[in-house]
Amino acid sequence: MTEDQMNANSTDYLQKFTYRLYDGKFQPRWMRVLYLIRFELISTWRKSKFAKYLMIIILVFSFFSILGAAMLKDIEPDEGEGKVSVRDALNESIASYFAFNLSFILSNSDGISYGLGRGLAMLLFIVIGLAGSGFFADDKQGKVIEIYLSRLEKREYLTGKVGAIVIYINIFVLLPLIITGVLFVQSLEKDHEKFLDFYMGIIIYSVLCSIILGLFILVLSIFVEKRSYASLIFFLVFLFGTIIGQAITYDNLDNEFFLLVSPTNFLVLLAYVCLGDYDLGVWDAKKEKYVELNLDNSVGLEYWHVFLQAFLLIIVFSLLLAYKIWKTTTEEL
Amino acid sequence: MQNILVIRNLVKKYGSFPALDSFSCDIAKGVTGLLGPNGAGKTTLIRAFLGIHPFESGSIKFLDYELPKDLLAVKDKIGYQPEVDTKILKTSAMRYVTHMGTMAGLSRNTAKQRAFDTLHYVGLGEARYRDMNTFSQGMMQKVKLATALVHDPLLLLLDEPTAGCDPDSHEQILELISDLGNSHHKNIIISTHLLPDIERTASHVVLMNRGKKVIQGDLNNILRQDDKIINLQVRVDGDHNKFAQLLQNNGFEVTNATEIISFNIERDDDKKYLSIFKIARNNGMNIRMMTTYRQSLEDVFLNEIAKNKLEN
Repeated sequence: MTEDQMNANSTDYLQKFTYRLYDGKFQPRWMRVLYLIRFELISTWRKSKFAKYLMIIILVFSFFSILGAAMLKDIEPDEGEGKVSVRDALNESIASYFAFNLSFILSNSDGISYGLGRGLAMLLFIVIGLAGSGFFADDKQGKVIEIYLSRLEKREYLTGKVGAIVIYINIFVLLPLIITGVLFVQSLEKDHEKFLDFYMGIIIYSVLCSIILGLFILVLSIFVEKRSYASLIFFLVFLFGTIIGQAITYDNLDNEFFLLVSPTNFLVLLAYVCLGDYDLGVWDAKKEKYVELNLDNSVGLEYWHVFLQAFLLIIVFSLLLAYKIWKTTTEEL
Repeated sequence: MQNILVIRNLVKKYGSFPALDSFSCDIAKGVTGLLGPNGAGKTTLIRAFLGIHPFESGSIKFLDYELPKDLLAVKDKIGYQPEVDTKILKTSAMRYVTHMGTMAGLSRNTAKQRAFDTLHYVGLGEARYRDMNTFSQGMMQKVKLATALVHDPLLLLLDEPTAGCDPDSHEQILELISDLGNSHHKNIIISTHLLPDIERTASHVVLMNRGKKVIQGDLNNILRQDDKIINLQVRVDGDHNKFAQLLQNNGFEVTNATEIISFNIERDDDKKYLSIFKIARNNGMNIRMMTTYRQSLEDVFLNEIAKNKLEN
C-alpha cells in the first residue's frame, strides 16, 4: 500500500466517523408509538429475571392445559344436550383463568369444571405486577420521561406504554385462551363456525381484561415511588381484595351486586358476560349448593352492570394516568 | 443576522410563582449561551419551548413555526440534552441512542446507523455496546449529546453539557460543541453555569434572572467595555505602591494597587497616557507592562445580576 493510499484510507475513516447530516425521511408519528411498544416489550423481558422465569412457568402450564384440551376426545358429549354442556365447559374454562382456587364461587355448571387456568391466577398477577410496575417507575428513576417528552407528545408516550402492557398481558391471556379454545372445540369435533361467537368472546374478554389490569398497574407505576412497591400493591389488591370481597359476598348472597367487590370475581363475571353466558350459579356455603344467578333477568345484577364497571374502571384509570402525565412535576421529569 | 428563535412576553407560572415573567429575547443563528443564576428560569424556558411544561401566554417563533401550534414539527427539529443523567436499565449506549432516534422519527435501520455514527463522533465508538449504567459522568454527557444529535436537528438545546465531567471529557465536549457550531453550522443553545465554557464556545449570550431577560447580544460586544473609558493595567519594575501613590497624586483614580496597578482612563486622552510614562521616568522606574483590562463574562454576569437585584 502506498503512502497516498494509506492517507486516503485514514481520511476515509475520519470522514466516516465525522458528524454526518441526515436528509432522509422521518417516519409518521404512529410508527414512533409502535417503536416504543416494541422497545418496552423487549425491555420488560430483559429487566426482571424472576418475571422471566414466572412467564416461562405460566406458558409451560398453559401448554399442558392446551395439551389436555387437545386430548379431550374421550369425553365427547352427545349431540343436542351435549352442545350446551360443551359450551358451558368452554365458558367455564375461560372464566376460571383469573380465579384464585379459593375464590371460585361462580360457575355455570354447578361446579363441574374442565378449567385450564386454575392455580395460575396467582402467578399471573405476580408476573403482571412485576412487569408492569417498571413501565413508568423505571422511566422516572432513569430520568427519561423528559427526553421522551422532548420527542413525543404526551398522548403518544402514554399510548405506547398502554399498548405495550396490553400486548404483554395478552401473551398470557389471549394467546393461551384462544389456542385452548380452538383445540377444545377441535377435540370435541365440533364445527368451528358455530363457535365464532365464542372466539370473539375470548378476544373481547382478553382485551378488556388486559386493558383493566394494564391500566391499573400503570397507574400504580406512575404514582408509587418505587417499582417494587407498585408490584406489591398490585398483588395485595388482588389477594386481599378477593379475600375481603369473598367474605362480603358470602354474608350478602341476597345482594348480587356484592359479587362485583372481589377483583377476581369481577374478572370471572366479565369473562362470562363477554362469552354471552348469563345463566350462572353462586356457591352458597350455608346451603352447600349453587344458587341461581341470572344476569339477564332484569333483577339484581345484570350483565351490563359488569360491562359498566369495566368501562368505569378503564375511564378512571385512564384519567388518573393522563392527569399524572399532564401534571408531571419538574422533580419527576 | 437572522434570528432562529424569537420569544415574546412568555409567561409560565408554577402556582403563583412566575418562573418566566414576560420573558422576551431573540436568539440568532449560531451558538448562544443561556446564562442565569439558579432559579433564573433557564430550564423552564427550554421545557416551555419543547412543550413539556406548556406556557400560559406569550409567543415563541422558531424559524417559520409558531408554538404551540406547530409543536410536533418543532420537536423533530430539536435535539435536547437534559441536565440530568438519563438511563434505561440494562441498556447499552447503542440501544439507547437507537431507540431515541426512532422516537425522533427515524426508521429503525436508519436510527441504528445514525446511532453508530454519532456515538463514534462523540468518542464512544469502543464503548457503544457497554451497559450505560457503568458509564462515568463524562461518558454519560457524551451519550446524551449523541442522543441529541442522532436525528440531525436544526437546533441543539444543551442543558449543562459539561456538568460533572473530568477535565479531559470537559475539554472533549467543548471541542465537539465548537466543531458542531463552527464546522457543521449547527444552531446551539447552551444553558450552563460554567461561564468560561460560554466564552469559549458561544458567539451570543442571553442573561436571565428571575424569569426575565437581563441582557442579550453578541458576546464580544457585551465583553467590550464602555467605549470612552477603559481600564488600564500597568506593572513597573520598582516599588509599585510608590508608583500607585504617584499616579494618584497626578489625578489618576487607582482602583487596584497590587503588583498590577489598575485605573480608569479616557480612551482618547493622549496627554494622560504620556503622563504615565513621564511619572515613571522622572522617578527612575520602568514600565514593564501596560494593557487594557478585558472583563470576563463572569464580571458582566455578576455586575448585571447585582444591578438587576437593585432594580427589583
